Amino acid sequence: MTAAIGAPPSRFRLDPRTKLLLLLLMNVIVFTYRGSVAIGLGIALAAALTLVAGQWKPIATFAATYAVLFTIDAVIDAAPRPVIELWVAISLPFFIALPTAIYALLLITTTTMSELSAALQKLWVPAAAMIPLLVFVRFVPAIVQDFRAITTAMRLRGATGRGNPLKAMEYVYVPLLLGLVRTGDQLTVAALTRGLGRHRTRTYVVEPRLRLIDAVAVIAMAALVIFARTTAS
Amino acid sequence: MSFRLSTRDLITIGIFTAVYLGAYVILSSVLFTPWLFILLLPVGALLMAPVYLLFIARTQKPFAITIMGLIAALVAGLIVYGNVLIALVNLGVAVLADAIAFAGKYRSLTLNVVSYLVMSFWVLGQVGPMWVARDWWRDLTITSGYSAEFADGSLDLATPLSLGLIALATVIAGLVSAYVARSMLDRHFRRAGVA
Repeated sequence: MTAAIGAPPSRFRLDPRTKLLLLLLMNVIVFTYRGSVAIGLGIALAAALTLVAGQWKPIATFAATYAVLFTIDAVIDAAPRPVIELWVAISLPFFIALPTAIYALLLITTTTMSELSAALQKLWVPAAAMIPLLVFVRFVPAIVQDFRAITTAMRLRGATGRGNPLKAMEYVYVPLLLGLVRTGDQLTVAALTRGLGRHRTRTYVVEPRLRLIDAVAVIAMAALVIFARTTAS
Repeated sequence: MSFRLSTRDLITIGIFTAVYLGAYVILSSVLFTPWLFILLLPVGALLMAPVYLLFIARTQKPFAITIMGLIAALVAGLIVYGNVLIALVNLGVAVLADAIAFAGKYRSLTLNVVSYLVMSFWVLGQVGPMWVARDWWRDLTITSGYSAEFADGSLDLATPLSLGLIALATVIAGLVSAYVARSMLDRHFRRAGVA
């Protein structure tokens, strides 16, 4: 989001289409390969690409998460068996999902919405699928934030609805949904001003372009997929 | 009833999909151990009726629910599970739910609620293999790193009886949720002019 409007993206910014492809390929690796080498390298690749794109916070978050997971993993051997089993059950989804999640985060944190919509348009994604998808990606974090703010505000007013789940549901849903409906209206106006409602092809100041770094990233990832395939069985 | 989804509708779809799917993603990460995972259906059905019914009230057009299902299939079927078949089940359920609501022109409360009940089964793609594709599910669970006894223990729970119980629980939870949602919609949203 730091690039000035109209400024061409730096040589080190990946094309959103590349990021989508990387996300898919990483998914292939995670689902076909049971070992840590290819997945570890995939994580390293994502970290490198994120850093090169000028972001470090997602990397820090993931490093911290992994540090916690591995620390517990190392310590837990001393615990009684049921605790270990519980830990395995809880932690495995994280170990499985995190490598893919890193690429999803790379996509979300280093891509502006306008870049993403330009890229999707170039991929011939129709507006009826593209707009909801973009709004979806944009709104998930906003909703989590809203949800937190509402529960805090309700607790401050003593409206916890404790002992009455129906009330508790109402206390959260009514403000959350009303807020979302309003935000949706504002977003509609904003989108219409930017020409999203017109029935002709939109143009973009910054056209997505494939650069050297895209080729490097895709080749590296393809090599990883081949490596994972050949060592899978 | 207009058939064209306006930009406003498309944005509404995105927002409500974020709430609906987001809740399921959070729920499934809380419930993601094979034993608890089958509870995703009833728990989800218990929570989401206000979102779903308000969503229908806000769009009232064909394909809105289908697009919601499409995004759910993309995210929960293709990206999270990496499986086309699961995604197709997700999408199929949404199409069916859309057709039911369409039969009532999206204004019939009864049909909207039935549509909600159907839609509550969209995670069948993720949960269902425990019943219909036991070997496949066992392989998937074991190659994901769970122990064989863990997988078998979960499969022992996946009997026809438990399938029936889960389905029944989901329908009852959905009806309770729809009842709450209706009064919520009447009391707050219709009065505020948003439903």
